[in-house]
Amino acid sequence: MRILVVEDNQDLAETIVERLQDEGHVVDLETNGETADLLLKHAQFDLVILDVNLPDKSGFEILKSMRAGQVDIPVLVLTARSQIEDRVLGLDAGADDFMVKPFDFRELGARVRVLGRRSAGTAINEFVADNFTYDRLARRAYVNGKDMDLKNKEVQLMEIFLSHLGSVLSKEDVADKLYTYEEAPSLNAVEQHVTRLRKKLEDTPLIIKTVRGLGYMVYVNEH
Amino acid sequence: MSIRAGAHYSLRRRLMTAMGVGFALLLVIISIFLIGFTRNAANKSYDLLLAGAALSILEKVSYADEEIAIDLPHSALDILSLAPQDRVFYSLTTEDGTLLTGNPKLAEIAENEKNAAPAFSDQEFLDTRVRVVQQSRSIITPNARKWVTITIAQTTIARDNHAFSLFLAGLTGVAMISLIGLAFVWFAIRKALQPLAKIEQNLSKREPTDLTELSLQPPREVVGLINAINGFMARLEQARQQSEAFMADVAHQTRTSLSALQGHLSLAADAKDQTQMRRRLKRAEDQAARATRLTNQLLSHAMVIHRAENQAMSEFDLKKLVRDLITDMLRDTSLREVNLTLDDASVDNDEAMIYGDQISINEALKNLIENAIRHGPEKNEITLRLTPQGEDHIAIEVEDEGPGIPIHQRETVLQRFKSLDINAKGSGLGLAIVKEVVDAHSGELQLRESPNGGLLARMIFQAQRLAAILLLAIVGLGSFAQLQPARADATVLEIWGATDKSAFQPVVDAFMAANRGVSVKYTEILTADLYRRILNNDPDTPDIVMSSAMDLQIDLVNKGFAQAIPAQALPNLKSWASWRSELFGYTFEPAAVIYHKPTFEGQSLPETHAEMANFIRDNEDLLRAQIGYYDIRKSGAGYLLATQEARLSQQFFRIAESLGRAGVRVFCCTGSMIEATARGELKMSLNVIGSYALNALEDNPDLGVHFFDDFNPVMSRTVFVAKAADNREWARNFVQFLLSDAGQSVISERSGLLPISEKYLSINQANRDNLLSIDSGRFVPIRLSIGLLTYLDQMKREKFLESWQQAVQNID
Repeated sequence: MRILVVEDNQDLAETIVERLQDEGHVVDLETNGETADLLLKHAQFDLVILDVNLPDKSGFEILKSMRAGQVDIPVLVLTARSQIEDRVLGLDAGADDFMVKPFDFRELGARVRVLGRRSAGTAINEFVADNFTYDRLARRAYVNGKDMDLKNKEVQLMEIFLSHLGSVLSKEDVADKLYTYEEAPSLNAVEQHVTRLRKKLEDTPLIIKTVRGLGYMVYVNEH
Repeated sequence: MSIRAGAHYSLRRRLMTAMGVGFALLLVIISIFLIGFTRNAANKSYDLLLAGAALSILEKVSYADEEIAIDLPHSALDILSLAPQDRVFYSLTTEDGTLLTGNPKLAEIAENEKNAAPAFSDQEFLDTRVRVVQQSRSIITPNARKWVTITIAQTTIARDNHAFSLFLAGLTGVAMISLIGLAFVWFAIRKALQPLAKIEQNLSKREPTDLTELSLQPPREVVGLINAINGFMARLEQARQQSEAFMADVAHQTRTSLSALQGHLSLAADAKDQTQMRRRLKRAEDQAARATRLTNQLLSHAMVIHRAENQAMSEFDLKKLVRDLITDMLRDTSLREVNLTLDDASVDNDEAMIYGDQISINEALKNLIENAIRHGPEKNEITLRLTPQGEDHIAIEVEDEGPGIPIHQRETVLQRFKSLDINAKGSGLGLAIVKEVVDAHSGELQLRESPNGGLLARMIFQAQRLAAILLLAIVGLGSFAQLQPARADATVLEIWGATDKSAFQPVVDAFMAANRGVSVKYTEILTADLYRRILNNDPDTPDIVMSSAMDLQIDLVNKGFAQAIPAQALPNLKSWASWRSELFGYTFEPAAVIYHKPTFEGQSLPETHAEMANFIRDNEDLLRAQIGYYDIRKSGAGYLLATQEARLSQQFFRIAESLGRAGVRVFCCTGSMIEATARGELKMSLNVIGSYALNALEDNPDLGVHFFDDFNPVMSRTVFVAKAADNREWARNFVQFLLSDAGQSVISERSGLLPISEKYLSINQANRDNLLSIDSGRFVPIRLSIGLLTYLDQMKREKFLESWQQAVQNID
């Protein structure tokens, strides 16, 4: 992945860059907000890691101008303040994820991979995680190269989950996406489909987590 | 923390108010007693006047010529006129109820009891409150013993005033005492509050760090306050020590943490091989994580305290906050191993609104969840539950499967840096933060054992109740009717007067010239007719009644036919020429002697009344049938002058006798006497009205005017505004005009009357020889008072006229 890191603290920036390079990404570093903004208008990146406090132009302003210019590269916002205002501001401005400093670098790596998968998947029509592959064109899923023989609803469910990797979907959200207006959405049916899909994914790193009372979250287990 | 300025109240003012109310209450009670007491006292004094009058009248009752007669003593009504504003009525009746003399209406209400001692009572008479005295006396007649009863009624103005002034004096005294009492109270309070000032002084002089006890010797009442202050300072000192300990703890914790990190790192740098270095670096990384967490928690703690002090409160949805927090936390990969359950179904969406600081509560909840994760087993089951608590509270519970907290340690864990398990990577601040947040929201933090053996932490907050306040403001639009004075286009002011119309018209004209929009209708009526028509409530009542018969006017006013005018509006008013602010004299009319000048050429006329009696007797033949006098049986003015002269001088009946012997001729009016004297038909006329005489001098060179040196009675024409006046305002204006400088000047210059104002009298044309010098004491004004009623008494009048007629003998 080609990643742009916009961070004015030299020490932290270098650490992030080194870490991400170690994980096999191509990383560019920019320390000034204004230049980062210009750069984003001309060069192509797969992911931007954006600090909020920047000289000349704040991270939120860069984010807004990106989204206004129809640039929909995933953005991970770094902030030193843990307050909700920052979170709301960031998500409203179009951030895909945010992390509060100081953060765990392994966590940063994981989040970067999640965001990378989200964007890369749509581009290359194929989602790969370890021994699991999903072919978006053929609408087929493979474990260790073997077709999983997913049923129609399970395929739909899989596509919904893969496009919302790492975020919580309530049962109602899933039902809305799974059923058309003509079909009567049933929460019990959703549960059954999820249970069945989870069972079929048992040997893959793909995990469907249930938070009772809240909904589902699908993530890739990396260990 | 600051105390709102509006919330201050003054202890001193409260005490003073309480004492003030007490004193006021006392004043009211004393006033009630005082009213009764002063009324009694006033009654006692003024009853003596009534009793005196009654007694002096009864003394004059006699039996003569086969009938009971009364010679009403002048002193009786004079005694009563010591109450100058009061009206007086009297009646004398026999035991069978026959009215001998006086007011027949009063005789009707009089009870016929044979009471030799005066009996007093309060009654209503002619719509006025009166004090009545009744006293009886037995008269011996040839046939039997007969009882006569005198009833005198007097209005109560003077005694009311007296009672009021006594009351006022008494009240003033009591009020003064109250004020002095309040002053003492003020001083006492001041004195009593001094210890507080001392505390204030002591406290304000202190250094901020000085939290030692106040060492004062306070009075017993302030001991509690001093103890409270000392207790507070002790707690403050303790808090300061805690805060210092906290600082020390923070320093200790962070430095230790960083030292450990540094130590691990330097060990790693000195490692002999890769495996050793990797192990040491791993430990350094763990240590860094702990240091990070400690820093985060310290910042979080500082933040919630700061926010609690700044009251960053708003209304928000607790349910949404919980869901958002869990979603956020789930982004963190470390949380994915935990089984999380959210149970918020028992709270409706609109019930989860609370008023508070969203960020602090978020922080608290995050700490509870992190605690649950940290202290729980590998496969942890955490439940978040929102439940309504009673009517208006809501609880957030966090339940885990960890070891829980033993009951005896649940208090301890809420303190800072009191982590129970050193191995659990706890900072010792998590629950302290939660406690701070809950306290800042006046909520409650409960630590319980969960059903599956772990810890159940419960935060309870007050739910926001949406109260709709409906304000109904009723705006009343009061439209006030404008009362326009109902005044016709041309007001006609009706005046009935006894003065010649021709003489008075210039005064009327001057008034109309000065007051546009009013026309005056002046009707000339003889004094006796005027009196009778008013007394009989003539339907064509005038607005103003004017007459030279002072006694008749007094009687009308006494019977309530007049209304009052504010006396201060009348600049030229004389005290002798006004009664009750209702009746006013506006002219100066001395009695005079006129004579035919040629007859007495070279002769000087007598200077005193006594000499006049002798002079007439000595010149009987010269004057026979050529001396004029009023027919006092017919002329009101003549009767008034005669009776007043009789009062003033013993010589009256001697003169009358002389006049009789000289064949006096009697006339109806001053005018005819002047004419006759001017023609020489009469050599001399006595007791004529001086103003007419003086004004006649210019046209009649043979006429002379003479005033006595000892005394000359002075009448005044009087005016009152009728009670039934239609044009009260204009009527008042007219009376004010008569007594104003403008009015007096017109009277003086154009009416042929003499003004009452000395200023205009002294420059009057007719007074060019300065005959009328008032200072000399020769002119004795007839005072307007109820004393004038004496000679109006039927019996008294009959008796007086009888005596006069006997004296002058041969008149028809």
